[in-house]
Amino acid sequence: MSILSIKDFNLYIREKQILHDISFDLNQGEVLGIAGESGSGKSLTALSILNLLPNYSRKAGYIYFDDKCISNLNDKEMCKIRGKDISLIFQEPMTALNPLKTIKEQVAEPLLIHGNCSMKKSLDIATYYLEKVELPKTITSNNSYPHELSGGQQQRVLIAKSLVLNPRIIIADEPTTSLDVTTQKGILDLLKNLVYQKGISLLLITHDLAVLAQCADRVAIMQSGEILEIGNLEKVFKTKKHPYTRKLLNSVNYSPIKKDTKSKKVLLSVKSLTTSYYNSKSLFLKKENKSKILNDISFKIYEGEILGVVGESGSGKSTLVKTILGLQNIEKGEILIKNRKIEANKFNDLKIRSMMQVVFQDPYGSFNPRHRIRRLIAEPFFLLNTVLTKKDIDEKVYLALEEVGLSPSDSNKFIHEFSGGQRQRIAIARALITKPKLIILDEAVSSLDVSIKAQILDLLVELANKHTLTYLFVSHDLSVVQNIANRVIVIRKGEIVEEGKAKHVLSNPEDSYTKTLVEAIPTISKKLLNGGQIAN
Amino acid sequence: MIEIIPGDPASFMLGINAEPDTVHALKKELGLDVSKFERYYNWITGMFIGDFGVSYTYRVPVSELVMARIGVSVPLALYAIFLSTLIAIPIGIFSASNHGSFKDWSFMGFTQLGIAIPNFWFAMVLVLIFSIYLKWFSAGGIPGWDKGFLINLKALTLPAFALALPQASILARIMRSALIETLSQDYFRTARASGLTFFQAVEKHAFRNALIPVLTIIGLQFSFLIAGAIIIENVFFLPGIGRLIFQGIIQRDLIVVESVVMLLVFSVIIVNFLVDMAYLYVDPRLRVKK
Amino acid sequence: MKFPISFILGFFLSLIFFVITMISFFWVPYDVETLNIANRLKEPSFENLLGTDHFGRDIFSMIMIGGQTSLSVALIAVGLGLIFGVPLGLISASLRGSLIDDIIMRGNDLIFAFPSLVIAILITAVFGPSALNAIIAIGIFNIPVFARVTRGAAISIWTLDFISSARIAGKGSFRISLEHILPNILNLLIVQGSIQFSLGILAEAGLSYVGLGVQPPTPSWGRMLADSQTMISFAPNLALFPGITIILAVLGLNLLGDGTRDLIDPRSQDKIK
Repeated sequence: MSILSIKDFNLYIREKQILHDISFDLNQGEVLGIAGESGSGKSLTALSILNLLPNYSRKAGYIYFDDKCISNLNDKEMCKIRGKDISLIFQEPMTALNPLKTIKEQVAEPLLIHGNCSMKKSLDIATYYLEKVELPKTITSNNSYPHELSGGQQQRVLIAKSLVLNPRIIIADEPTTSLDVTTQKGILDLLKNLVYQKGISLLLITHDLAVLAQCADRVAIMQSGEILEIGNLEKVFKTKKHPYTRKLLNSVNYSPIKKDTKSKKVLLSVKSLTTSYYNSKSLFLKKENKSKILNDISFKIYEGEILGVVGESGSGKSTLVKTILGLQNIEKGEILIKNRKIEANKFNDLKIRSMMQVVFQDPYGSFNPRHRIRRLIAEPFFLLNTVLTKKDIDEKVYLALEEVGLSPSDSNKFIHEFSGGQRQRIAIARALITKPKLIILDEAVSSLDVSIKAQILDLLVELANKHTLTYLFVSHDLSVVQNIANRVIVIRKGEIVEEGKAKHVLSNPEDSYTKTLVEAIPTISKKLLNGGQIAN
Repeated sequence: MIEIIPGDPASFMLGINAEPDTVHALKKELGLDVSKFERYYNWITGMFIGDFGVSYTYRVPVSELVMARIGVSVPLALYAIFLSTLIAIPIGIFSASNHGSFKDWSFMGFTQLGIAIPNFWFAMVLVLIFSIYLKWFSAGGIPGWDKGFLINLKALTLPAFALALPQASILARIMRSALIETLSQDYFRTARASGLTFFQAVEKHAFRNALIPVLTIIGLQFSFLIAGAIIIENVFFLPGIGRLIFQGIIQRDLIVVESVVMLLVFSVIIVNFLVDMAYLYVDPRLRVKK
Repeated sequence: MKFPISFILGFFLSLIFFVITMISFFWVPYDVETLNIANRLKEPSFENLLGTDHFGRDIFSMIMIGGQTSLSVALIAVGLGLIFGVPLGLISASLRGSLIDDIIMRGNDLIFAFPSLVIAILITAVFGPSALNAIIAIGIFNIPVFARVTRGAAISIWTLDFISSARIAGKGSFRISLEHILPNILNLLIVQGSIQFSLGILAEAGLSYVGLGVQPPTPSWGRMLADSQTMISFAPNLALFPGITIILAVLGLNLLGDGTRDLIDPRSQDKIK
C-alpha cells in the first residue's frame, strides 16, 4: 500500500527547471533509496515533499500523503505534518543541531509543538528515545550540548528527534555522508532496525550505491532532475537497464590497472615521527594541554610505488601529510627524502622542496582565485634555480595541461570557470610541472562524484605508469585505496596498526581495527553486480 | 602628559603678576612641589583608589566633580542604549524575515540614512522641531534628580534619541544580517522540518543565536556612544562628563581632562568585559568544561 | 554584470561630492574670506544658490570649500589607517598564535578603546586645536580598524590549500602575504576604506563642531553647523544645508562601500522561508 505518492512533480527555481516529471510511490514499511550524483536533484526532491523549498521556487504536480493531496497545503497546514507524520534527517549533524540548546530540549521540541505534552513529560520521552538510539548514559542523563558530542552521536540525536512523534515516514538525506565509515555502519544499522521495528517507511537519499545495496528494498536512480529508472533493488542492479545506472555501478570499485613495482630503492623514509598539538596558544597560559597526534610512526616509500595511507578522522593522517611537506614542526624523529632531511618551515632548501608536490582535497580552495591558470600551474617553478624564459614556461604549462586532458587554451582562464573534476586535473598539472619524485595525494578524489572519481584515478595511474611517479595516496576511503595502492598503511590515533600489500591487508586483515574498518565498508555483493549482463 | 604642556598650571591660575611665594604655596597645595616622576606616580596610583587629584581651577577633588556629573551622563547613556535596542531589534527581525522584499529594502534605506546623519545635527533638528516649533520639550538643561524622575527623563529624551539614532541604525543592520545568516543555518532548517512555523523557529532557534554578533557590536559601539554623548551634552547644555571635559580644555584644567579621559577609557574596557561575560551566558560552547 | 542599486546611487553621490570639491580648488561662485554684512542672511536665490550666512558669505561657496577640509582630513586619516593597519594585520595573520600577534592585537584593543573624539581631546589638550589634530586623531583610530579587518580576512585565506601550495613552492611569509593574501583581501579593504572614509567625514564634522578641528576662518561643514546653532530659530537654512551636505556625502560613500560588497560577494538569496 502506498503511503506517499508523487505524481508528475516539476520544480523551477528562478524559472529554471530543476525537477522534471518526478513520479514515485513510497510503500508502507519499505526502504526506498534515491541515488544520484551532485546536482541530480535528489535533495530537492526530499525538500519538496515537506515543502521546505528555497525562495523563488515554483512547483507543479501532486504529492499525496495517505491519499490526501499535500502539495497545495499552506505553510501552517504543512507544519502540522512536518515532524509529526513525516520527519527529516539532514546530512550535516554538526550543523543541524542548535549549538545553544541542550540536546534533550531539541529532541523534546517536536513533542511540545505537536503533542500537547507537558515540559517534564516531553523531556522524559526525549530521554527514552536518546537511550533508544544507544547514546551512552553520560550523555542521556546530563544536560549535554551538541558540541560535547561526536558527529556520529549528533546524528543519533537527530534520529531520536525524528522518532519522538512516531512518524509514518522518515526522509534521510545523506545521513551518513559526513561520517567515518565505522560510524556510518552503526548509524545505518540503527536506522534500519528502528524503521523495521516500528513499520516506518524510509526514504533514503544518498550518492553511495553501496549504502543502498545494504539497506534499500527499492531504488530510484536520478540524474539532472529526472528519475531514470526505479524498481526492485536486485532487479535494477542486476539488469543495469539504463546506461547511466551501468556507468555508476561500474564506477563503484573501479580499479585502474597499475604496474607493480619491483624497485627496492627508498625514496622517502619516516623514522619514529612524533608530533603534538597544544590546546592553548594563549600568551598567559602555559602550554600544558599537549596531545599527541602522531606517535612514533615509521615507514618507507619505495621509488615508483603507490603507497596508500588509510585512517578515519582524527587519525593524524593530515598532520602526517603536513609534516612530510615541511609545513608542520617535527617534535621527534626525522623524515628523509633521498637521504636529505626535511626540516619544517625551512623554505630555502629548494632542492628538497622540488622533489615533492601535492594535490589537495578541496578543488575550490586549492587555487588563488585571482590568478590565471598559467600562473597557477607555473608557481612551482619558483623552486627551480634556473631562470626560465616566458616561452619555456608557456611550453611547459601547455604540455602539462595536455597531459591531464585539458587544452592549452585553458591557460588564460580563471579557476572559477572549471568544474570540480577539471580543477583536480589542474592541481595534478601543477604537481607535475617540476617533475617531482614524489606526489602526495591528500584525499585528492574524496570530494568528487563517483564517475568523475573513476576518471581521475585513471589519469593518476596513467601518469604514474608513464613517468614512473611515486604516490603517497592518503584517504579515509578504504575502498578507493584498495583499488589504487600497491601497499597500504592503516593508521589509528597517530599510530600505524597495520602495514602490508594492499590486496593482502584488505582481504585478510590481521589487526582488529583494520578488521572492523574493512567490515564496515558498504559493498555491493558480486552477486548483485554480476547477476545480469556483464558490463565490462 | 601634563609635563609637556607649556606653562605652569600654578602660575596660570594666579596670573602673571603673582608673587613667587604665593605660587610656591599653591604648588604645595596642588602637590606640584615634588618631582615630575613622583607626581605622575601619585596620580596613577591614586586613580585606583578613586583619587584623581585636585582640579586646578575648581580647587576641589576631580572625583567630586565627576560624581556630580555622572548622574547626568550615565542615565543618558543607558537611556540611549535602551532606545536604540528598542528600535533596532524589531526592525532587524522584520527586515530579516522579509529579506529581499520592498519592505526590507526601504527599512535598510532608512538605516543607511540614520548612519549618515551626524548626531549633533540631528539633535539641532530635534530642538528646532520639538522645542522651538512644537514647544513639547525644553531646548536643553536638566532640572536635577531631586525634582522627580519623570521630569528628568523627559529632559533627557531628546538628547537620548539623538544619541540613539545612529546606534539603532547600525544595530538594526547587524541584527538583520545576523538573523539572515542564522536563517540559512542547518539547525533552522531542522526546526522547520520538525513542524515549527517560521516565527516559532525564529523565536526558538534564531533570535538568541543572532544575538551573539549583536552583543559584540553593542560592546564595540559603546566607545562611539561615549564620544557621541560628549558632543550631545554640549548641544543640550547638559551638565555631564562631556561638558566637564570641554570646560577643562578651555580652562587648561588638564588634570580634569586627563582624569575624565582615563575614566571613559576604563568604562569602555569594563563594558567590553561585561560583553565577554554575556557571551558565556548566551553561548554554552564558550563555557569551560571541567 | 548587474550593479546593485546601492552601488549606482553611492557611486553617483560620491562622484558629485568629489567633482564639486575638486572644482572648488580652482573656482567658487563667491570669495568666502571677505565679509559683506549688508548681504547677510539672504534666502536662497539665483545669486546665492543656498543663501548667505550672518556675515553675508555665500553658503554654497562655503560648502564647496568645506568639502576640501572634509575630503583631505578623511582621506589622509584613511591613508594613515591603511599604511599602518594593513601591514600590522598582515604580520599578525602570518604569525597568528604567536607572541607578536598577541602583542599587536592587544595593542589594537587598547587603541580601539579610545574613540577618535577622545584622542582628539587629548591631543588638543596638549597641542591646541588644529586640522592636523583631527587628522591624527581620526587616523590613529583607523589603524586598529584596518588591522582587525586585515587580520581576520587574511587568517581565513591562510587556511586555504593554495597557501600551502605556495609554501610548498618555497615561498616565504612575506612573499605569500604580498602575492596571495593581499590581492584576495583587497576588495574587503576597499569596502572598509570607503566606510572609514565616510566615518572620517562624520568624525571631522563632529570635531570641527565642538571646536577641536579646523580653525576659523577656514570653512568646514562642522564649524558651519556650530556657528548656525544660536541662529537656528530664525535662520534654519544655515543649519539645514551643511547638514544635508554631510548626510549626502556620508550616505554616498556608505552606499558605495555596501554596493561594492554586494557586487563582489553576491550571497545566494535562495534561503528557506
